[in-house]
Amino acid sequence: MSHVPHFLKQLDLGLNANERDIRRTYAKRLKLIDQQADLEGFQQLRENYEAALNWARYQAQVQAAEAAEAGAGGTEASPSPKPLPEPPRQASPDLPTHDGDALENIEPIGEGVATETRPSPEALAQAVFQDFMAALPLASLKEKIRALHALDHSLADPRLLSIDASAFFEWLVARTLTDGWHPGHEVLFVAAAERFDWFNDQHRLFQFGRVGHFINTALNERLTYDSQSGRTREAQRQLILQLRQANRPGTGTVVRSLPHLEQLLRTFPNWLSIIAPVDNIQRWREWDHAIPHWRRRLTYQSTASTTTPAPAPQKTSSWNRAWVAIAIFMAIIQLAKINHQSPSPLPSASHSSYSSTPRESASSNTDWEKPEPLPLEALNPLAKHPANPSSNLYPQLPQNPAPEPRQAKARQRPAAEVKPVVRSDDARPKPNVPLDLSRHFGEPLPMLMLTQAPRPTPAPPPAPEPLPPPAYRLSGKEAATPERIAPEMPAVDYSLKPVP
Amino acid sequence: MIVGIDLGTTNSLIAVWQDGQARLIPNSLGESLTPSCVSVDEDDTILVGRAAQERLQTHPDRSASIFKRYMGSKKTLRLGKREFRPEELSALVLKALKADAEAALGQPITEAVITVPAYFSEAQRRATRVAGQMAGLKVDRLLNEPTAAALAYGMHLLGSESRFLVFDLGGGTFDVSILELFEGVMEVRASAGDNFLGGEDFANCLVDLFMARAQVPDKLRKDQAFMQRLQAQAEMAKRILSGSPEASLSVWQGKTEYTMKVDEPALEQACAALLKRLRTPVERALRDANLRSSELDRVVLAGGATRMPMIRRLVTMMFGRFPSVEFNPDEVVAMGAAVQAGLKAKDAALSEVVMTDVSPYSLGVEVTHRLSEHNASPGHFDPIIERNSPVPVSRVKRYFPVREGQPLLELNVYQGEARMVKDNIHLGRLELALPRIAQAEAGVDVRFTYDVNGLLQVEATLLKTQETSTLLIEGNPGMMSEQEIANSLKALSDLKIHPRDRLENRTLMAKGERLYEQLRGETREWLGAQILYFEQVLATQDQRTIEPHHIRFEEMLNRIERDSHIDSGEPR
Repeated sequence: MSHVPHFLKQLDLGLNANERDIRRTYAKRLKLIDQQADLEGFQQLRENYEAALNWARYQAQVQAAEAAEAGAGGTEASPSPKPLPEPPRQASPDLPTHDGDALENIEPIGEGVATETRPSPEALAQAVFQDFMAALPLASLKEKIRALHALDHSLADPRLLSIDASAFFEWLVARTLTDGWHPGHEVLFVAAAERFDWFNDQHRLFQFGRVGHFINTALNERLTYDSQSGRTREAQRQLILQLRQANRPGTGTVVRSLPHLEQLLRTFPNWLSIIAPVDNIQRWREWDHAIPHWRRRLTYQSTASTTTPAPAPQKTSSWNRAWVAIAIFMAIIQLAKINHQSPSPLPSASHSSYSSTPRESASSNTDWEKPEPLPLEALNPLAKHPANPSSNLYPQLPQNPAPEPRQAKARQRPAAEVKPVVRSDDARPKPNVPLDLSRHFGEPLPMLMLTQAPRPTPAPPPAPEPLPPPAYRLSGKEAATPERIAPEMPAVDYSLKPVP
Repeated sequence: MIVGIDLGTTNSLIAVWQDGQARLIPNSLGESLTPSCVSVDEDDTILVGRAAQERLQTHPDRSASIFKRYMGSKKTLRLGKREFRPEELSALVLKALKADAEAALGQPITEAVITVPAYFSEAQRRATRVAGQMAGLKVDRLLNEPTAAALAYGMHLLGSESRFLVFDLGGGTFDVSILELFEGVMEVRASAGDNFLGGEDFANCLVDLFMARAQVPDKLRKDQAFMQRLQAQAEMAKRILSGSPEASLSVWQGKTEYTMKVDEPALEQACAALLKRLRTPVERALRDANLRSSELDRVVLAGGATRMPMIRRLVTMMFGRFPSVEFNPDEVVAMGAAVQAGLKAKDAALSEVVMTDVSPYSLGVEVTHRLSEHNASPGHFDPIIERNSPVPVSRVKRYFPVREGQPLLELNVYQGEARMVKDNIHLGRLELALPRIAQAEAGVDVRFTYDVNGLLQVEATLLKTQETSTLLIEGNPGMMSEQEIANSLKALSDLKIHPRDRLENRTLMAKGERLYEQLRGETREWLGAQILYFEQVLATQDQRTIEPHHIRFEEMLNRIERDSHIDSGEPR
């Protein structure tokens, strides 16, 4: 790379600059700036400095890695004191494998114990975490309160008095949650979010690298789920329950629920991969594929006949009500499909039976779009990029990508011109989160409409953005009239209950 | 001359940067700590400091303390006949400190750097500035307390490269900050804190323990005088326990004496919940600075409450090392304020030193997530300035109205970290009339500018018309309007302040009165006679007569206090 990045140029440094040079230059320049009066100057210096520091650290890492590779061929002999095998396993390990893994982790640390006299915080956290997992068969977890007790018990452990150890324990819990669903994870998830204060303080999670970002997004998805109407939530809850079942449901269920499941997975990818076995969707697709056409048609006709006369929830059992709701969803999807005229997994012959469904009965669900099967790896975005870098604290050696040189053009904008809406406030190397966020929140998805101004092409941010550009609309006076915008807005209860 | 002031919850200090170092200025009693207490005397003169603190027990209805906790709120405190706002009470303390400094330095003081807890909100910061203004001080610079403590240590370590954490547990607030030193730059990497956790809370735990163990009837909780006496006893026991294994508390009520013996483990057990709360800000600061505790070069203690052994043990366990205590933890914040005053005055000795601070919390606006055509999820918090960004900082984000044809855009500004605005602190709001244009064109750029003092400016620009509106944080219930400030300023200048040169005698009298109330039997009668006699001596107004009597009376009070184990409320 012979091209000198602009931030180095602005600091009058060359490609041979190291961290110390950058700091020295920054210090010299900073002393010339009156911070109270010259905001622009300070901010610009600060941006260049942070970008340069990240660049220098990355260079140093690359060199260290190269040197290590050249020196000893064995990768195990790395001097890193924290050999936590980070790459999350593909999503179907059962609990025993877990324990085995944890044991593996302990061993190299055990050597450190002998030399250091005191066990490292990582070892302590691992030990407590093992106890936690041993004392708490997650599958037996039915209530949040038990999970909270178990967490409290572990957190009160004197071995976790060290700040580093307790942070590591927290990270282990977070990693377990992102490792794919196991029975009980849905309970542990809400308990951990409450006990570790993930809900009220997103920054806490950011230091956990991509594990943290994954959970952070999952929590935001959960909030979005909570803000839907009660009926929508109940229907979605039933779908999640169905997804957790290992056995094949009835044919009618498969036909009716699959499109909604696909949609749900698209809307809440992170959250669902924590609280449900998302890989099951593949089996559903196979089951669905095997169903003959005549059988589908039958399903739709019977659904239509039950829905049309009695859309109101007169039935006593909630199970039945859920079916009505699902049937309504189906109706909406069909309606949407009429507009889309694209090939659908459902026979087009059934369209006619749907147009009679009362439109108003599904007012809040009109955007359930025609589902397209997701590629399986998209369901567990975390598993897709096992070798991804993260924060320098928790997972091993970060390999943060070099900050892209921001073109000088962006700098020369006149001050009056509107700045692009780019979160550039924090330029320290952020983990490259393997989430293609446009898939979750982007245009193709009708659930969240993006209104973020598109980023101007000449100014790519210095580090990969871990978060979706928040694509929210500002609440306005009009939005406050509840019956028009959000018909059944539930108060979001922070003492979350596991769903379902 | 610029002074540095630590306007604390329990004690306040004033210091200057002189001859290349920070120097504390003693008050008229020769002490560097002036209790942050105000009392209205029988003749309606205002007493500040130790004398007012003595009167907390004898005249609870005419005295006030820990009013810093109410800064920026509309709560008022009644002292005698008049209601006081917390700003006014703080202004009275500042005035007293200013008078001390003017007497010591022989020149008028017009400008000050005042420290505030890092977690002070916008309203609390503005209130602090108003207090300075009412005391006749120009407060161009507010300084975060942990940053001040770090500055004092930083001056000490200047020239080296170092990374350290300041653990500042004061009387009423807890602050943590992480500082990095290199090339003469003192860079605050992160700060965090708990606005409602301090030494006072530990003493309150002891009060609760006493109420339970000594079987004090619950109705006495409403007895202000009893509670003040108990509070003072608890405070003293807390301090004794820092040095000896056991302490005893005893409070008289009528003819009943309530007593309790307490040891350090019992106190620690009673404070377990508080100790737990100390962890969160430490974790937060470390994570925001992207550091492990093992990457710190040292951990530094500040704030009087860090004298408690249980705090030191906890810190040692949390960081796996012993903390350093090189300065007097009570004084370190004021020393740092003096350093900042020197920096501000561009003192030659500090020309190679520069400090950068961060915003201790995130600032943002309320947004509505749009889920579908008819479904939206309001009340989400969208940060514009993320916490622990180096200040000053200015950031812009673009937003659009929720609906087509929306006539008005309401910008609600919040401070905090929660995902939903209802759990954050509302700072103010700005309304923007939208012209009749398409929704997609009605973009609004919202610019947040956060300055080194922690004060926020919000600007909204309508893209289409380039029309700019600025947020005026008024109508906020805790905020004083210009008119109110002017009125208050006038009212304060009408108040009679007790003459500074006679404060020493007044303080002694107040102490005598307190002891009189606490004593029983013969000693009490005897002390009553002595007080009367000293009053007569004071009435002569002859300094030569008063002097020897003053000394004798003071010694006598100290002796009584020592012999009868009555708390002086003095810090050790």
